[in-house]
Amino acid sequence: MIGNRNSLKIATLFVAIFVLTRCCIAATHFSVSPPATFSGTDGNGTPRSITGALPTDFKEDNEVITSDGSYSNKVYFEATVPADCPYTLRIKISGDLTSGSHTIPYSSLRYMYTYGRNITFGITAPGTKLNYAKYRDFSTSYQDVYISGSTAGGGTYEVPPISGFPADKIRDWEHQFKYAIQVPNNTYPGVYTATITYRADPAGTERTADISVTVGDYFRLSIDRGTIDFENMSPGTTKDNVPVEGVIVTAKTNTGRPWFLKISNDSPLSSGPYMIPNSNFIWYGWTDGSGTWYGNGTDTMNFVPSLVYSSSPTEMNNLPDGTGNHLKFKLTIPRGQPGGKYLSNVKLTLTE
Amino acid sequence: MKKLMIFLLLLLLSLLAYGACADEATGNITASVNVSGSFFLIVNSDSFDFASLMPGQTGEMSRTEGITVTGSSAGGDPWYLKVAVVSALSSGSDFIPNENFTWNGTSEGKGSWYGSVDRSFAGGSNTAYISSRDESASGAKVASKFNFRLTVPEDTKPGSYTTTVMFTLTE
Repeated sequence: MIGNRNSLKIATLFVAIFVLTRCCIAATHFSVSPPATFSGTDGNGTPRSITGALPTDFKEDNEVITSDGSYSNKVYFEATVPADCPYTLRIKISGDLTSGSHTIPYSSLRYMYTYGRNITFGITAPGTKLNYAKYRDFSTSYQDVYISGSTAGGGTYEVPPISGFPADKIRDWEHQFKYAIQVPNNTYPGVYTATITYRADPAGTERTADISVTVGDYFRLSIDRGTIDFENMSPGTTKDNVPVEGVIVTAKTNTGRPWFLKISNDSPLSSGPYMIPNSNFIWYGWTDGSGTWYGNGTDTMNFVPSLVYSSSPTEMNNLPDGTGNHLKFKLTIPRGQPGGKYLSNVKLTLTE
Repeated sequence: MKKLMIFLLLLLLSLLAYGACADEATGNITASVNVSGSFFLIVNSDSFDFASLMPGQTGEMSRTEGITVTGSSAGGDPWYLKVAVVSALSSGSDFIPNENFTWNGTSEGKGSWYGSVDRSFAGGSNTAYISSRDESASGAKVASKFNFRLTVPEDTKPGSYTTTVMFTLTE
């Protein structure tokens, strides 16, 4: 009975040593490095970047150009481990992307596991690629990206033993990611940064790479039509309420600065040598905004831009809808005005 | 003084920097209008007749309401309405002299009307109306009514005599 107990103790001890030994080998030699240029070495990654992004854009990261081509981000493993030692690649983000006092929620940034292979043998990574080739939301907690292992040959390992190559020299695993941002509507211009951390377990090796998103100025004016037509008029007559539905002028900005809408024309309504004076050409309208409307209903067109509207503080970043202003026009044809088709270029200017 | 200069320089640089970063966007709309009726003449009928007349008979046009001619010009200068015949009333080689073909009428305009009494076409083109200053400036429409009278000479041969009456608006 005593002999049997001793035999059981010995057997348990043997199993425990075996397991610990296998894990120690993996933990000792496992490393991860983000940038392509880090092949075969440890180290933190160079920053990933998304440039030219504007509010409401969905934009992917810029490609990294390396000596062997253009790639999305790469994470290299130099794993000098037995072929059958499993590992899990995980990823997380530090938190919201920040630019001074402004932020983009980290939930707006996504990542995609795009490719994995063994550089030495050119073998496609045989493990489990979680949500492969699909964008996933980032988390501030680690998420599994890749779980090594294959059941080929009846065991569990990253690659099967390869003839002529030492089983403990299966190395240089490369994994690739790409990133994309859905820029929130009201994002201010700036360079927003956060840190991505890659982790290889069970070794627990972590490496980081900064990611930056450059959001540009969004400052745009849109007009819902290109013409206003008074159609046919006789000298001495006046036509008002043109166009009936009004011209909708929409200003959109994310700059955070006050803006102004102005109106002018390059020249009076002209037909050859004949002109209808600007004093006969009146603009008026109303605003949907919360700023200040400057029209008094009898403002005449002018070569010098006239102030139509100035923004309120809440409209200095007004995406995605912007601020709508509505314009109508009134025209009086002077008595004795020669006949003809008269044209004028009405200019609307959005300025800060 | 030196501090003031530095301050002004910094202020200038700040303004330049602000100007450099200020955004501007523009949009254009083409405004158009067709100004019409600056110069026109309308005649409300393209024909009239005297029915049948006997040699030596004088007759009025059978269209008792006459011919209404409406003119307008907004050019700012006085305009003239003239009436003429392109040729004498003729039937083949036979004709009725223009002295025998006369016109008269009335005008609603405020300008000068020259057709209050019978005037013949013998002298060629006749001025019927000259617009007032106000009508010239405003482009007001002026309607004038013309009546025509024909005296058939005793020796006129039978036949259907025709001609064209021409109204001209000019500045």
